[in-house]
Amino acid sequence: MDIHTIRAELRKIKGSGFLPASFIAFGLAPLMGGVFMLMLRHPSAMARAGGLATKADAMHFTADWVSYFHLLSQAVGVGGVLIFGFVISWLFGREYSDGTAKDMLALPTSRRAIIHGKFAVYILWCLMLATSNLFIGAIIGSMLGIDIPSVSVLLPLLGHYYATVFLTLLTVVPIAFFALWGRGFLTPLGFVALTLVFAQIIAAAGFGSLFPWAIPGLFSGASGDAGTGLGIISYVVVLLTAFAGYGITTSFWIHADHTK
Amino acid sequence: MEVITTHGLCKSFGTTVAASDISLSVSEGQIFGFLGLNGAGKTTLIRMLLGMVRPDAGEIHLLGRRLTPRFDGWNDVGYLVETPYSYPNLTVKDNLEVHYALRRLRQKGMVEDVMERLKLTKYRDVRAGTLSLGNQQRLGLAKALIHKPRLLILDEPINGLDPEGIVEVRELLAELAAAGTTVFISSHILEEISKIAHEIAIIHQGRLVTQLSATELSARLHRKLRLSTRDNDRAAMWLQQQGYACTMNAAHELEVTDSRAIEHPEWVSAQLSQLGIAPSLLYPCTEDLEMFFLRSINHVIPS
Repeated sequence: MDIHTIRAELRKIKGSGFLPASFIAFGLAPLMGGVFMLMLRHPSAMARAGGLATKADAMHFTADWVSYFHLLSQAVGVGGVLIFGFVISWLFGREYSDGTAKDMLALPTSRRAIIHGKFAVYILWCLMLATSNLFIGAIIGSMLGIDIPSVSVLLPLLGHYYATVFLTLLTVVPIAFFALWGRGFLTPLGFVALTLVFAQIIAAAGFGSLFPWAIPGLFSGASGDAGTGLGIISYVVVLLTAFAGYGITTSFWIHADHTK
Repeated sequence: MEVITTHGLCKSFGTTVAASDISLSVSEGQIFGFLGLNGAGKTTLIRMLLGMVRPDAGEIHLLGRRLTPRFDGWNDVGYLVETPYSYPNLTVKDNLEVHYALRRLRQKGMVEDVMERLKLTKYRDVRAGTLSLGNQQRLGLAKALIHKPRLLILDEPINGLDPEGIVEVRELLAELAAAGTTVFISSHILEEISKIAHEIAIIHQGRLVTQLSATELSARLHRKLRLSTRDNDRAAMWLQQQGYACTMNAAHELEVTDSRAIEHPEWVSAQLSQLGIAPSLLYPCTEDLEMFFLRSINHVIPS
């Protein structure tokens, strides 16, 4: 990993409106969890909440940290594909929308190092997004006076949360290729939208455990108990997706004709 | 030393031939003007020189080394390809510092120096997205020059510059060439190229039409003697009697291409005066690069 490239990539983010926007968008999940807990702790508000109360009830949401963590994990497993997909589309696609891709191709820094720098910033950015949601959740939970869990309860919850983050990070990797191939944002964002639609359909048909973009959601417990129906093959599928995505992205950047 | 040499470069995109058997060489310290119409293949050749587009056939040598994916001489090469763009959310200084990092430079003063040289210092904290077209062009040139390259490859570097900026760039390129930097410059502004280039090449429909030095170019430019009198028909008859081929141009002036007349306009003037049709206008003129260019490409593609 090349520190110069990572520094350059981090500097490119400076002053961009997309950075705070991504945190605001992703931060809606813990806010929603906070609203659920507020309603559960105030039954009169629950009675007036209508649709939100129904949703909280359907999710078997309770006013404790276990429920809150499950909600955050599900937000990462399902919404993470969308938000992380936006992040990776922006990091790779902006070089074309800003017209700067050609400036990255004939440098002492190798093309492979450029791609590695972008992936490193992608991972860093998404980990910060995931961690920021934990902080927001912790602040909201403290404000609502939820009992602090013991370390023995907290550690497995954190482990499951970050495992979901890790799976989501891996499944989003191939979207980088679509940003390079489509030379901008539209193609990768279209691909993200397609993965979300197909994840719903394929999971509903019972094959979600084999569809990479449905696996983080299933692992998070978005469709029932966490990890239901997933086997070793599911994790192999996620790994293969990430490796294939990395390989094709790097290969395209190094070997394709760059005419834009 | 040859800084750029290409042998038999070919490149097609589908059925479109962008480059066909292009062989050229550029010597150290030269300003090499590369001319062609839009779509002639200039940018494709430049992208091939920079390793951005892979040739279907042929070889490229830069700075004495063969260009392959493992070429490691990029810090000796600066470039600007087509419209220069920068990260719009970053300031001028930030944009240059991104390049400073990616070029793995070690002298901190380089960013300040290049801003000073390109007159960008007063815009250092201005976001690139809000710069005028001319200053964006300067920033593009600053990125190409920050590391003091031995070879500068510039694709239309004066687009968008105001007259003062054009003169500054011309002087900058002359100064760089005098200090030993080789400049490969493509442009459709032929007058500019004619003012600075030591050597020119013309490309048309993917083929190299000609490559020649400024001296050779000067020898190949058509020269004429233009004149006008009260009675051009009588003057034309006299010129033909002397064995000078002459024609009438669109401005109803007589044009003589015979070198004896071109070299001795005073004699022609005296003779016509004796006949009572003294020239009201008489001047030798040389074909400009634009006319030479059009003549060269029309020779390749008869209209």
